[in-house]
Amino acid sequence: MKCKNTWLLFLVLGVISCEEDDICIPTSPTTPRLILKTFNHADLSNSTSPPNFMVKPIGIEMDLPINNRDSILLPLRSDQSFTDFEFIMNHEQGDENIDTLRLNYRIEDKYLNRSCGFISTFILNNPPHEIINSGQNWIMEIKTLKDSIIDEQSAHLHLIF
Amino acid sequence: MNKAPIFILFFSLIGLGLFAQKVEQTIETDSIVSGDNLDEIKTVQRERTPFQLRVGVDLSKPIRGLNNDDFSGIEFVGDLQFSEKIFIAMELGNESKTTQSEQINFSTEGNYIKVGLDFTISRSIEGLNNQMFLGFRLALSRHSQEVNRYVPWNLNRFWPEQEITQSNAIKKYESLSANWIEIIGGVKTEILTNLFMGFSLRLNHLLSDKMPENFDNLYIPSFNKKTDDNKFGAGFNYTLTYALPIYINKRVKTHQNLDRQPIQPTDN
Repeated sequence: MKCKNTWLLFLVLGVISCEEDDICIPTSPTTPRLILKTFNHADLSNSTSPPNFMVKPIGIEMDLPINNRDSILLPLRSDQSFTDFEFIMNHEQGDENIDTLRLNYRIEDKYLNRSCGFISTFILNNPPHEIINSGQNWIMEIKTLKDSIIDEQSAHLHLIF
Repeated sequence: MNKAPIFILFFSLIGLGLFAQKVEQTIETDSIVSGDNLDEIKTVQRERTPFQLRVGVDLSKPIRGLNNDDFSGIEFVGDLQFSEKIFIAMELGNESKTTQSEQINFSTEGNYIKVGLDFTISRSIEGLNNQMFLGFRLALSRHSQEVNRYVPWNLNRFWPEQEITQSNAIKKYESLSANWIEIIGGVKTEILTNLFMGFSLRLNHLLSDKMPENFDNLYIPSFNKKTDDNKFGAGFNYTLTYALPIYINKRVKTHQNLDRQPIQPTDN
């Protein structure tokens, strides 16, 4: 009788020690992308896209998805403190205008939980950009709205052309 | 750091130790007493039998260390017989472990101490010194966590996965701690004279822990894996202990009336 109770205890101990696998749920906070809104200098109250606008990150053979909305999401590199982008106006129109900019920032990694681990957040330098290759300088100004990139709630930079 | 558990632990340890010294086991032989007849021979013997103190090591840790480059540890165990069925038990150890947990590689290093009681639940069989027991422990650890490298989580991954080896999060966090209780069940068998082999399974429940800033106690020495959902963990040990009999105040008192003179009754 006493022996039976002991084996039951061992069995229970064994079962209790099993645990569920952790999953990082997709609605968890994640490494945010930089939100850039573009404005024509003639109309600073409504954001508009430059004609045939395209942004190409330098260092990878992949294009950024551009939708017709006024803001673009720029993914920043977590492994270095800058990311280079080609900002292209009149893409594939014959009179393509390319300004190459480098965005500089400081990285702060934050721990979430066991299943997700760390996410990266970014703090833009002041000024956030430097011109690598000015092309024909179609970009007039880059304005910082939020220098802390910790979420994708609102725009971080305004680009004025 | 919450120091209260440490004080409770040590005071109870000291208290139990002091209290244990006073317990004695008496063997009384032969008391024939008749109230009126003073010609009787009365013999009272009082002996204090030796306490059994067993000390030894946990073999599972060095074995695990041999097979595994990422782990090393030692554990010393001991128990002291308090009464026929109750043992005061203690474990002391040190662990060093490197773990890959999802996308984070980190190292834990630290010491721990566990104190508690074991209760024998098996009926003792004549001639065999075997024991099945249930028990509990109060445990405390002091340890450090070091984040070695990780890949940051990115739901909208664009750039290729890069393992980060330098950042604000790559650092060592010292002076961390944890305390928990364990419920254990196990067996101890005498395999050679005074040499015991034991095995126990343990269910751990975390009471509190001091977490590193911007990280977590994903692994705690001897508690093992700490999970987000619940505060339970499990473990086991496999011990080899040697019994050192400790003799305390051995005293034999004999009263014998040989010339049939009246004897004063002695205290029982």
